[in-house]
Amino acid sequence: MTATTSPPTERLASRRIAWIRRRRALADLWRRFRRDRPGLFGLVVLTLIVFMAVAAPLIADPARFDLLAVRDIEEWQSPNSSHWFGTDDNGRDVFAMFVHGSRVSLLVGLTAAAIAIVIGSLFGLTSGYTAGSWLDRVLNRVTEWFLVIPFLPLAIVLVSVLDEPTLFGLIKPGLGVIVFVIGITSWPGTARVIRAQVMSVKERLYVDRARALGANDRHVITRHILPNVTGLIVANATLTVPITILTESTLSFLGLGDPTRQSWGRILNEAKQAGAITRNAWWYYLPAGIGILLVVLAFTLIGQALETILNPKLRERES
Amino acid sequence: MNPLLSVEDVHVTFTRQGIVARAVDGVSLDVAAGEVVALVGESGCGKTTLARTIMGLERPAAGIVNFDGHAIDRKRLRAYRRKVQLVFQDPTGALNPRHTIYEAVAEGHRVHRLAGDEVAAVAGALSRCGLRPPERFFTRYPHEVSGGQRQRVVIAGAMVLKPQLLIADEPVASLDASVRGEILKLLRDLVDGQGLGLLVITHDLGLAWNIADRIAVMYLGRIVEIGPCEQILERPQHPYTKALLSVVPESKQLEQQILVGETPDPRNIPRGCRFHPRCPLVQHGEAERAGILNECRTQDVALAPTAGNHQVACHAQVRR
Amino acid sequence: MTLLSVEELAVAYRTSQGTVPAVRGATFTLDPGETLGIAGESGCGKSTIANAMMRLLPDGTAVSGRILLDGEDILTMKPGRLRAVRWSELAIVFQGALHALNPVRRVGWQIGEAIELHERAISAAAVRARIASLLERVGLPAERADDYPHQLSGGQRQRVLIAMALACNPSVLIADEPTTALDVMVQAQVLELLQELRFAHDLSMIFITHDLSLLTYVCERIAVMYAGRIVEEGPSHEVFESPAHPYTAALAAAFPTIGDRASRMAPSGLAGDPPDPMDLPSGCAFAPRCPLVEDRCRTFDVQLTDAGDARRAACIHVPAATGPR
Repeated sequence: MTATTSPPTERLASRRIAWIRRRRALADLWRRFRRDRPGLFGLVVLTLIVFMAVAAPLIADPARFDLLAVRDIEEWQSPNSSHWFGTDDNGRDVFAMFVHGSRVSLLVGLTAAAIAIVIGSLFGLTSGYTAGSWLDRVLNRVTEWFLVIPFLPLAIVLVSVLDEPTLFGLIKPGLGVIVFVIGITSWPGTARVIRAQVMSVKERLYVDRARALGANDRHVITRHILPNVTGLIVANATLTVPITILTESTLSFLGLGDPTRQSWGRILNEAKQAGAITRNAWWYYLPAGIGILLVVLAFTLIGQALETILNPKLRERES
Repeated sequence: MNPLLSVEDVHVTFTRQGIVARAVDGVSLDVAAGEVVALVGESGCGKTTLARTIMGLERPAAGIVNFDGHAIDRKRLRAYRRKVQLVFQDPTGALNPRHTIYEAVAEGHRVHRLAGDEVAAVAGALSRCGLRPPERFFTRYPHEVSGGQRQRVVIAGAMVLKPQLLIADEPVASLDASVRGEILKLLRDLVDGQGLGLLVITHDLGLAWNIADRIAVMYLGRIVEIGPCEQILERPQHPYTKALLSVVPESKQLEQQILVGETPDPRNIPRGCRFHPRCPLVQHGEAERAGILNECRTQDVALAPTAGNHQVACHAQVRR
Repeated sequence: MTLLSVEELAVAYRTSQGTVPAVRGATFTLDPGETLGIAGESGCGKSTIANAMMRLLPDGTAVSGRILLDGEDILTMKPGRLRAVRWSELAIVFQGALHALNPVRRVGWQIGEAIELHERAISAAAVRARIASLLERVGLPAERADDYPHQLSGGQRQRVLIAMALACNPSVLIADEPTTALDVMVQAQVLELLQELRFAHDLSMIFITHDLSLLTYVCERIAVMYAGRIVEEGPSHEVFESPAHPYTAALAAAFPTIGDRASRMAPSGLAGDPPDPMDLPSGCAFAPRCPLVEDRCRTFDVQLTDAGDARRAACIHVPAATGPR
């Protein structure tokens, strides 16, 4: 029997034991994550991009893409020392647009994913725990209904129709609409995955044992179901973000995004409209395209690494 | 002296798609403090369902489960669960892999919000179950200890509540053979030392020989023979018990009586004595010669006393 | 004339945590018509031996030694010859759990699959006839061929697996824990069936189980395994009744004889657990748990030595054992 030496302890407070456990679990998680090369690569890339988004005003002056301020700048410059990514058809600095555009892509992506995860998890947990009951059936129908709503027509309709805040001021035109649309069309996927996991955990023998010990629903949910589901939620969340970012890019590319904010999708849209492809002005559209690709790739790699580590079934096969 | 647990004519049924399965079809059983009763039978005989019903995890269709003189109240199950605890067959599955051993044992203490020092209670339970020094096991996970130790953790988790009765469902079936003895010894010591009552559910007659005071043999939802362990295992009277003993490799009997077919489904319990379609007495003509064949085929038979505390449900015995 | 001869078989699995030596040198023989029992607990390597004989080990596993079937080494057979030998000369019966059979195929089809793989030119009608006769031979009505595995009981599934194993008339049958998940009565039925088939078809059998007392009914000879090695071997009743190795004694005591006063209210077992193959102690692998352990046991790794008439045991207490005294 392989023994792990634990530090000599006299009277351990139970809270300290829980704390030790969590610290060990996190250290264990990090150790396993480190071994996953693609995941590590994704983490590095994501860190760089997030840093760029957060420090955007320090890296690039927004004035460099203000239409009024760039009137005298030469248009269609290819990359050079004063304009790292060249300039567009109006003389705007592409690098500055790229750096600031990352903010919207990340912000919308993360916010919409957060909404999707919260709604999806609540639905999944409730219907999973009450599986078979009328509540579960009702929730399932609602989930399916939302599953079939196509995000594009919904986005088009809402963007065209909404010019002032609605739904108690929560949905504002511009970014608010985009976040709303993406959020409500992405949560069903999460809900289904969580529901399946909750149903599986609920049948486990240690849940039976907890009940035999006299536990009520609250104890079972907080001490057994949630810890076994949280990992999955995190992994699923990490994999939902690329979807939401791509969706946002698509919507912005189609001109449905916020016209007052820079975003990578919008850059692609404007590049296309300005004829950058025919002019072979690759510096205009390539950075934004690669940016989207890298962010999506980073989240996907991290998410897959997390899923392998946190998904109990995959982990069993591994060991 | 009042028995600790008294099951009176309990019936448990399951209905699926309109068909009723009589999993437990009229069982009465007593377990006293300081006594080990083994409930033996093959799969499908209803022993696990009976155990779950005693625990309050299933509801009987009829009959009462009495504990300490009072019928168990489904509204006060939590209080009941402090006194009656379950030991599971699969110790690995019964422990949450994400909880440390400390947390697994403390769970009962926390659920019932017991007064007193939790750490001392956990340490005490672990040491009583042979895991010494207990502190060494506090931060370990179930997968870091062996199968036998896991089962000790499950037993400690039950013992931390200081129950009066333990129900052990196949407590050693999934453990390695060389490890079983230790766990059985632990259970017997807990009974002898703490005055617990123990109801062991098993298919293993050798286990009953090892630790049981009394044994009840179940077939298709009924107890067909019950009495002191040595008497029943050495001088069985019911044809089913005799057949079981004859095929168990651990018994000294030489003449094997291999029954035909498999145990019928609880949805289709045979008429008359439920064992008669497979009974060697019927098949070899002895029942006919004794003139009881008609009763075997048409009349249900209840437990009747033979010698001392020994009871058998068999027409051949009733006649005698 | 030995039918099957295993010589110094060693198997080591490759895992992410390193190499796991599952079998560390096993040698035994099987004569025609004989039944050999291999007993041991989890991690002792008995199932690994069964899989090694059928060459069903995962890729990358390190195997050394020889397994001679009628003089031919199975381990060095070319794929074509191996496929021909598998099932038609050497067949295996697994534990009849639900996953031993394909759940989406009828059982008759699965039995027929074995036949068709070995006899390509056989007609569909002939296959059906063979399936029917095989099912009848194992005590199942021929109509069962149209059932799916989940429609059968545990005992019936085990019989189907036996029918499948006999489909191509092998000369050696390996039974790997065939009755472990079954009720006592059903187990007795299956064992009775195996004995009948053994005599009817002159089969040689290797019977693998953890239940030592069972083997005394079924086998002429028993080999007891511990930590990847055979620690005792000999005629089954002798080994069970007067074991030469302390582990065998402990294993036998774990299955108490009903009616034996010594075991009444006295459950006997060993402290500790079967060792982790990756973390074996130096010297005798059983030393940490042995009730007769001496100092020299921890440094001296005993080999199998003669311990009487056709018996061998790997313990320093055996009179003929060589080693430091």
